[in-house]
Amino acid sequence: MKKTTETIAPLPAEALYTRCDPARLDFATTAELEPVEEMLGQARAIEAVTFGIGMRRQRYNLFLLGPAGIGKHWLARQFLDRQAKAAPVPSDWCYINNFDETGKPRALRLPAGRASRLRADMQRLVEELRVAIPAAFDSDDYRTRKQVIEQQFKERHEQTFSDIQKEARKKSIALIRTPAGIALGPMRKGEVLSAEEFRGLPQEEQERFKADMETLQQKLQETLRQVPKWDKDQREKVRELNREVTRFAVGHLIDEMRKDYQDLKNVLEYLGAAEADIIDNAQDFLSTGEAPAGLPFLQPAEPSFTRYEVNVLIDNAALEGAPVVYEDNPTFPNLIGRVEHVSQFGALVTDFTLIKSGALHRANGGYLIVDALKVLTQPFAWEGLKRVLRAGEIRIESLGQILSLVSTVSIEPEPIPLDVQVVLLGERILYYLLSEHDPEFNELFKVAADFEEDMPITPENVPLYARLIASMAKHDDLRPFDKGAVARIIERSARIAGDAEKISAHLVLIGDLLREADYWSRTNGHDSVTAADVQNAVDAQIRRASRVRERINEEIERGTILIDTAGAVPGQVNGLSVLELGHYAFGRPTRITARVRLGAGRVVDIEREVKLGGPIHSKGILILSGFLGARYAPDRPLSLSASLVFEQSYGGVEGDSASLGELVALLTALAEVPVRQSLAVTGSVNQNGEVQAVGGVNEKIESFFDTCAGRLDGSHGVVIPQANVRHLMLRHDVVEAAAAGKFHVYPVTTVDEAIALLTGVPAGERDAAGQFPEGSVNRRVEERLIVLAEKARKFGIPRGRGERAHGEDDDDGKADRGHDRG
Amino acid sequence: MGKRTGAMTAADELFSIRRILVALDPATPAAALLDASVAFARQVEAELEGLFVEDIDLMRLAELPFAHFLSLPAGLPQPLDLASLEREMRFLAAGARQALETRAREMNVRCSFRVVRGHLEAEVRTAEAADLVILDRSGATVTRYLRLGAAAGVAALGAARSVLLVSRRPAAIESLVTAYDGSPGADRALGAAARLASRVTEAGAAPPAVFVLCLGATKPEAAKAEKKARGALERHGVAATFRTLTAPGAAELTAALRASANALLVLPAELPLLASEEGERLLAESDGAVLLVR
Repeated sequence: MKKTTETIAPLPAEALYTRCDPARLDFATTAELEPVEEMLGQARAIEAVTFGIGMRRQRYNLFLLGPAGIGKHWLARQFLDRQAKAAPVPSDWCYINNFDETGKPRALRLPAGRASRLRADMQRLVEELRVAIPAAFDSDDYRTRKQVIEQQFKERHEQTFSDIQKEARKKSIALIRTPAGIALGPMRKGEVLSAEEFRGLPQEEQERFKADMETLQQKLQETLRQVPKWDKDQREKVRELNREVTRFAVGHLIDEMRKDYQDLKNVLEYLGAAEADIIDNAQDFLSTGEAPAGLPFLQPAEPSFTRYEVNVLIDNAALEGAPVVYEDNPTFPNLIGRVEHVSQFGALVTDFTLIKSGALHRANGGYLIVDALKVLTQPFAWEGLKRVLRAGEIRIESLGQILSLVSTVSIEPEPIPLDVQVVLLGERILYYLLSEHDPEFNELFKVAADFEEDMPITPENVPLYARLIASMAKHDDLRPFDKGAVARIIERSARIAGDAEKISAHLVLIGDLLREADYWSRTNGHDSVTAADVQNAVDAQIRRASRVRERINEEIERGTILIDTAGAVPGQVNGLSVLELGHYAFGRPTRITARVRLGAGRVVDIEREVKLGGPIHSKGILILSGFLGARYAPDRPLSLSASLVFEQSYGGVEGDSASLGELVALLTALAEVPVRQSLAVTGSVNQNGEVQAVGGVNEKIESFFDTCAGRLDGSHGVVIPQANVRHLMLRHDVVEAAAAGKFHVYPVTTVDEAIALLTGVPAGERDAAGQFPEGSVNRRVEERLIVLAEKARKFGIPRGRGERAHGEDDDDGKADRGHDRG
Repeated sequence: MGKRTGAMTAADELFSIRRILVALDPATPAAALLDASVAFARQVEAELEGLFVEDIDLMRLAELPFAHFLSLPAGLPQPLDLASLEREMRFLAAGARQALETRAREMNVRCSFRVVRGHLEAEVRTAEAADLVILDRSGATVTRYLRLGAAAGVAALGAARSVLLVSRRPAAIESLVTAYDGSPGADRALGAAARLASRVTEAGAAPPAVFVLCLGATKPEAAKAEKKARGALERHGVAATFRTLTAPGAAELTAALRASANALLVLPAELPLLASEEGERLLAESDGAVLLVR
């Protein structure tokens, strides 16, 4: 037996708001409470994070998913900090010059704290060499040895040419310097013979001169060919001397350094390479720093010793444990690192000292926390992050290089091995989208920690929540909260959760409320925060966000938006919808109307027709068609054409929470039974006519209460799904009005209950003969549909010719998708 | 320019230069020589004559049908013909003339230029119209250590007049070194050093340091020479540093003369050292310029 109007009682005031009794809290203020260290209500996420961090294997990176403000960052930070403290401090990293290939700087790993020391040692070494090497080359010993070498070669030149000159003189041949070379000529009495004189010589003598000149010329030629080699030999000897002198000056200084780095093979190798380079380039230490004459811009005034510098990329000297790095701006270069360039006379140049670290370098050996949305919205950052995680090493490349956009000469730093665990934080939708569309994502982020948005109000959780409030108050240096305030916060938290049996896990929203309540407490001169202060904060929050809500109510009041709160009209129902602006959600009543006429079984959703209705809303409408057909015309054509509309709705409708109201409007339009306008309705229905829960029930009830405010006479109220009763956490004024009998909330489980409430006419059930009771709404609906079907038959309206609900099945159950629309 | 007294000093009487001849041949690197010559002429307020000597031996050689030369530094045989050589000579002479005139105009020095065909040494020997002959000391480069034409030193020794041998790197006269043994030639050299020191100072530059090596076969002779030199320089108003050398060997004297880097050596042309191999080497290789005073 279904309930009738008389039997459906409004909910008692107590059911509209579940109080948290301060008496159940056994403390005076939160100052007495121990702060809570762990995160409440997130056991699943905590377990996942614990597992992920504990695994610490490549590709076991974490994705913490949940709405913003739920505390993902806080939890990650808390866990990682704790884990990192117990972990060893990772190595320092530097980039050093590659003396074999300058364009490929080498990466050097050192125990934490040693990199800076190496840098300082190398700086000191260069300073000492700038004194020691010039001093060595300024010594008498060096000068003497160099002069000896020069003398040796000088003598070789002189001796060789002297021999030729002597032979020439002996053979009366002159060696003459021409403007461009050396010539040989026959000579007599100290003078070169003229052509005439030469021709005057006996033929034999002429031939002898020619032969001698030819021989001497060949010797001279051979000697001149030797000269470059002699010069090379001399340079080599001087170079070897320079190397010996430099080695002497450098050796003991580098040996001193070697003692300090005996335990580091890679540093010893570097020192060996640096020593060899210094010996080969000792002239740099002898340079006066003057530019070549006439070309002052070609060389820097001071010789550069940049190649002996140590670019300390990561200095972990100050770390205790492993690093936990949060990169707030995860651009590609901020993550991977970059190579900077400097402009020199219009050209961009770089070297290993201009390599800059990225967040991955800083987090290497520890943990990197990144916001997923940020990394996904930065160009190439996500691809770069994945590439690094996949490769297990950080290879610094500029975007210009990767995309071949620039041809500036750059360097290829040696990749640095990566040992980092990346923790991505993001909304659930991001996780699901990445899982679906990025095949590498699941491979690289194997651990998902899914955060709860609320937790049940239980005897265990309430004291813990109070301690959480105490922790947050202490953290933000707020006044203590008395037990009344804590109770009010828990109630408010339940309202935020939209569930009287749950409390919100949105730490950011709760934190905001605590700080604002503290403000009101201070303003009101309270020592501790009271329930009134919390209420002030809540009211103020609502007030600040209520401009749009108040404008809507004003327009309803003024009759611009048509909402009746009295009387009864067939086919017209007060529906309720929810608007969400930022963090603030509020309801507004909307008039739903239905019109019916003879047709081909189509229920037209006008919102959908004009593309203002979303898919879920359309689904709700289609369900109505299914309900109508199944209940009233199971064995005959549904020969109506009905149109449903959200009046004065211009911004689109989504969701199916109005489907109950739409069905009531449609049925009452068919039955021509007036609907009470003092009631509003929310709820979705299924094809069986059962009413299902909807979201935002509190906001919806309050919105109709506000619309009716000032004329409440006991007839006003809202019909809601029974399943939503547990979600009720209504405003105090609504609860008070309900307690005074001026406003009612009716829970229903079926559409028939709703019809009975809204029309005051029983809906009616089929009797044993399958007939609805005379006068009942259902009887009237069925009769109207029979009339319409009969008329349709007379008019010969073919079933399904255009006017039919989209996707509705034929009578035989087959989809009739091929018919034209009328 | 510093002040000029106008009156003839004792040093002027000993060493007076009014006309300078700078002689060069095709193998001489002209630019540095001409620069140094103009600078010196300005310093001593003398007129400068440039003399380009077209080497007669080279011209004769070019007339020979089989003549060719080895190019430097590669040592590749190239044909040598008279027409090309004459063209080259004219080009080199014109370049030298232009360089001299330009530099002389800049330095406000009177100059002239002429070209003769002959031997450089012969022209130097017979250049009696000039008070001083300036020659390039180093000669043309063949290799790093070898130069042809360094016989200028030999030519200088046979010259009729005082000869200034300049190096390729003309530097301001910062110091003067002379050897004094009390001979008349040494007196002239000392006078020349005193006059040059005075000229440099009058020109507004810092007074050059003057070093006098006093030579004697015995210590008393060397001391006597020092006393005489000291007195002479005091009369000229020139401060100097003195060092005595007793019966120095050629090597010792050469080393003493070369002790001051980039100094102008002012030596009597008759100094016995110059006839030795060390002396020849000294003329060819000393860092600074060498003035042989007659």
